[in-house]
Amino acid sequence: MACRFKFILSLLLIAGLIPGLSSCISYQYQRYIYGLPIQAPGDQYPLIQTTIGDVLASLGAPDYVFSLDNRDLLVYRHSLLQENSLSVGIPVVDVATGGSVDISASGALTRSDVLTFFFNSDGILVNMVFEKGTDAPYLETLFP
Amino acid sequence: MKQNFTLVLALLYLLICAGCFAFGTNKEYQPFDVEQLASIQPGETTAKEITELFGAPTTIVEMSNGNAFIYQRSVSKGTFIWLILFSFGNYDNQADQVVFFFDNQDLLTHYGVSLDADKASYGLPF
Repeated sequence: MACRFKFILSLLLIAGLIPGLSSCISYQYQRYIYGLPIQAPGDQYPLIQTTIGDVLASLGAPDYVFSLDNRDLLVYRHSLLQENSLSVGIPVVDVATGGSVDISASGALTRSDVLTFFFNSDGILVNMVFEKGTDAPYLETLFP
Repeated sequence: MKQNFTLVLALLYLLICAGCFAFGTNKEYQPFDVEQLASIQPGETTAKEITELFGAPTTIVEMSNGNAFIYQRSVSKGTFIWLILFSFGNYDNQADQVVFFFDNQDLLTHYGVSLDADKASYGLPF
């Protein structure tokens, strides 16, 4: 009889505890991906010899196009955003005192691969920059 | 007693894993007509003809020696899991993009095409 009482009590505790916890503690993780991964260009695009047409034929349409001081920029970008949030609240305090204890923390980190081509006004490649941000380890980036 | 313990564990497991699983798609999308793209000739096609074929560009950029018309159509696919204590989401955004470059006489000099919208996929964030 005592055993059955303990069992029912356990069921009631679980039934009450889990929904209670759900309002107290919650963790969210979300990931956003924009664009396809970008490979390192290597020696594929030699300066002064490569034209804007060569780059477009090879990589397709860029994600962004800019013009700066007689320089035309084609930018290819892939980005990865990761977002974490943790919240802890004690709703019982609300009932008892009218106040509440609610602690929450959240953070978002965006890492990007960016390949930028700089062309002169004749459409000749004069500079190129590549950064592989998504290779940076997630946790090490959070806590440098 | 062992049976009861198993039942409690099973109930606990079910309660923790109870939740929702959902998929979502967001489209700013109308596919580019490949035949229209094939009819475009650098050195011949004008900016006016491009706008007649594709409509108003998403963005226009003034370049050092002309203009660039950017057409972008994107697809986002989201996967969401809501559990009691945890929730997870994954969003994948891919786009079809065409960029046309014109000289100062509005004549097409070159263009680039990336058709990646169909590569957007559902998936878990880990």
